[in-house]
Amino acid sequence: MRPSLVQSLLLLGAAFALPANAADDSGSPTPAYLPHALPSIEGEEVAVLTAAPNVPPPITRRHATKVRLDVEVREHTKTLAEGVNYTYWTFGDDAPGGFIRVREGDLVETHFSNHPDNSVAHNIDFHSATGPGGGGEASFVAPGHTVTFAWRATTPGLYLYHCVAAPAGLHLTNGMYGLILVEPKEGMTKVDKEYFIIQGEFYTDAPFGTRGNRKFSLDKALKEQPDYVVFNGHVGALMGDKALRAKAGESVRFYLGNAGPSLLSSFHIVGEIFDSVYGEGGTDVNQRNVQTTVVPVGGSAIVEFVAEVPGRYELVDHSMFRAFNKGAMGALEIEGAARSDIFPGKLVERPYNPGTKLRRQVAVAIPAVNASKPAASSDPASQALLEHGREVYNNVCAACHQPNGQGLPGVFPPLAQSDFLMADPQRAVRVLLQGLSGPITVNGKQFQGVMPKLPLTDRDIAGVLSYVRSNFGNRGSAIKLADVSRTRTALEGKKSDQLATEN
Amino acid sequence: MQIRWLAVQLALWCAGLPQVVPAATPTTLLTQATVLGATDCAAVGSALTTKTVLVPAGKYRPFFKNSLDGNDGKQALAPQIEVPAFRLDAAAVTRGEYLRFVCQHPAWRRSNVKAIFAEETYLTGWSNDLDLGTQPQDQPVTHVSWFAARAFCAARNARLPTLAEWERAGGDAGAVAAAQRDETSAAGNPFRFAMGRPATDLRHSGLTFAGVWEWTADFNSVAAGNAGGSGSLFCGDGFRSNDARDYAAFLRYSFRSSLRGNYSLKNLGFRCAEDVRP
Repeated sequence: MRPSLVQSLLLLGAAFALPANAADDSGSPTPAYLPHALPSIEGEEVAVLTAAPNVPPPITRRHATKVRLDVEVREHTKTLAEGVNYTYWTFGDDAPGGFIRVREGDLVETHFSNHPDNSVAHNIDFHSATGPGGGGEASFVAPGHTVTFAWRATTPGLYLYHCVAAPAGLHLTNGMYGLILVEPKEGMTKVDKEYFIIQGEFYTDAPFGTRGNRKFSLDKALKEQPDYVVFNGHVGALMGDKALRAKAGESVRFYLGNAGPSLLSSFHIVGEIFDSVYGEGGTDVNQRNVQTTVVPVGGSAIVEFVAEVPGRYELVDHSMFRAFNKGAMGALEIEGAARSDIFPGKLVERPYNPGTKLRRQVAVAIPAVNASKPAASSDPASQALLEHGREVYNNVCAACHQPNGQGLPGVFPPLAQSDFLMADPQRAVRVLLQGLSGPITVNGKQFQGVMPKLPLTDRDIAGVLSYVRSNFGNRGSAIKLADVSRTRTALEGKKSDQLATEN
Repeated sequence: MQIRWLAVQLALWCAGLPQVVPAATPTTLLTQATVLGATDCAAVGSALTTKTVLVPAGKYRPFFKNSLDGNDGKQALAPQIEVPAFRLDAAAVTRGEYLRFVCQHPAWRRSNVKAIFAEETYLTGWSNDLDLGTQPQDQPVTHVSWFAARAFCAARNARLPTLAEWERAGGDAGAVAAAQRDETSAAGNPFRFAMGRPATDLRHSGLTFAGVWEWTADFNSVAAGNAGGSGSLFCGDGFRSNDARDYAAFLRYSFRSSLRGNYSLKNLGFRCAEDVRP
C-alpha cells in the first residue's frame, strides 16, 4: 500500500523523534545485538500492585503506555514468627512489596515516598531498569520527602526490585524487596493460577523462635548465618490457611524471587515436578521436567506445572535445615478427585522381619482413652501455658506434624485424635525429652521415623503437650510443669547412674 | 498536685529553662506550652543558660577515604586529621530554646520564613508562630532546616559543628556493637544507636544524644557517593570506608547525603558548637 502524505510525515516524525524505530524497518541484515526498539507511548494507567502471594492479571493491551507506580516506604514493627517481633522496612505495608506487572516498552513513572516517621534515607533499584543504579540514585530520598523518576521497561523478564541505600544488606534483610514482571510484547502463555514467592533472610540477636522484640545482628549478617530463612517475609506466610491453592487439572505458574541477601535458594515442591522452567527469570523456557530450580540471590525464576494429584505439597528451599529449622517452608493444597492412575498410593503394609519366619500379624487394638478430666482449665496460668504451647507448636512442631496436627501419611504421625499420644501422657513427655526412633503404631498405621531430641524447656514441653492434648480433636488433661521436671530429673538420674555403672 | 508542680519546676530548672510564673491554679501548668506560645515574647525571657561540653583536641579519622585508590582497596585507612578543641552543646537544641529564638528573630517564624531557607514542613506541629502546641518544650526541636539551625547558632554567637567535630564527639565507632547490648534501643527506633553516642573520652562529660539526627555545618561535604556527584551511598561504598562493619556510620552518612539545606524533617535537629580561644 502506498502511504498517504500524512502517514509519511508521521513516519518521518517518528523516525526523528525515536531513531531506534528506524532500525526495525531498515531491512538490513540483523546484527547480533539490536538496540532496543522503543515503541511509542500511548495513554496512561496506574499500576495495580498485589500483596503476596497474589499476582495482578495478565496485561491485555497491545501497546506500550505510561504506567504510574506509587511506592511508599514504611518502617514498622511486624510479626516475624509466632511471638517474635522485628522492625521491618517495607515497600508498602509489608514485606515483600507488591507484585508489579508492566509490558515491554512501557514507561514507568515511579512516585517514590519516604514516610515522615521513618528514620533513614531509602531508595529503589529496579533490576528491570537500564540506567545508573537501576534508579537507585534517582530515587534516593530523605524521610518526609517524595521523588518522581521514570524508567523504560526495555527488556522483558521477571526482575527483583529492592532498596540499595547504604548499608544495602541491611535494607534488604529488613524487608525491602519485591518482584516486577515485564511481560513480553506477545504476552505470557495463559495459565489458570499464578502466585509469587520471594525468599528472604533475617539475622537477629537470638536464636530462631526466641520471643520478644528482636534486633538486627550485624555479627550474624557478616557471617551470612541467618536465624530465619522465610518465604514472603514471615515464618508461616504460606502455611495453614495461608497455603497456596489450586484445583486438580489447573496449570500453575510460580514467580520466584530471592532477596537473600546471602543464600542461594534451591526451590523445590515435594511431590511435584516443574513442567517448564524459565531459568533465572528470563523469557525462554530453558528446561523442561525439573525437580529443583536455583533462584539466585538478587534474581528470579519462573516455574510452571499442572496440578494433578490432590493433596498437600510442601514448598521448600531444599537446603533442608533452612526448611526445617529456619522457616523456609510453605504449602500448596491441590483439591480435586483422587488420581489413582498417577498415584495409586499405599497398597499394603505388613511387618518386615528379615531373616525370621513371618508370623501371622496379630492386630492389637489400642483401647481408646476416654478423657476423664476437662480439656483445659480456665485459670490464667493454664491459659498462659496453653498459649505458650500454641507458639511452641507452630514454631517447632508444625513443620512436620502440620499446622492442623494431621501429620503426613507414612512420614510424620498425626497428633490429631492420636491414640498413641493420648494413651500415655508420661510417654509423650519422655518422647519430647529424649526423642523417639523405631517403629510405632498410631491410629492403626505404622510409622518408622526418627523424631530428634529437641532443645525444649520444661515449660515448652508442658505447654505444647497441654496444647496438643486439648486441640485437634483431642480431649485430654493438661501436663503439669512439675511432672515434666520430675521426668527430666528421673531420666537424667538414670543416665548418670548408667555412666557411674559403666565407669 | 503540689508534688507535680515541684517536679515540673525541677525539670525546668534542670533543663536550664526559665521558670514559668505559676498561674493561679496548678492545672494550667499542663498547658504551659500554650502559656508560652500565646506570648508576648517578653515572658519567654532572653537569658541563655545552655550547657556546653569541652571536647578536647583529638584525632578524627574520616569515614571515607578521599583517594581514588580507596576504591580498589589499596589504601587501608584514611589518614587521621586533627580536630582542635571546641565546645559542643551537651544536648540537642530544644523546642523551648527555639521558641525563644523565633521570639527574638521574627524572620525565622513559620509564617515569615523564606521557602528557599526552609521547606513547607518547617516547624510542623507548632500551632502557630509562637505556640508549640501540645509538644513538650524540653525535647529536641526538629522540622528545622540547615539555614535555620545555622541562624540559631549565629544568634548565640556560636556555629554548627563541622562534620569532623560532630563525628569526633558523637560518632562512636563502637556504637553498633554497643547497641547490640543496649536493651533500651530495642524500644522505638532500633537504629537510634546510629544517631549519636559519645566518643570514649566523652562518656562522662554530660554529652547526650536523644535519638534524632543532627545537622552539621558541612553535612553535604563528603562525596559519599560515586564520582557522578549524586551524593548517595550504594553497595560499592563499603570499599571506600575505613570500616565496612560500622553500619551506624553508613546510616549517618547515607542520611546526610539525602539532605538539602532547606529540608525540615521530623527526626532531624541540631546542636551548636563554639570555638575555644587559646
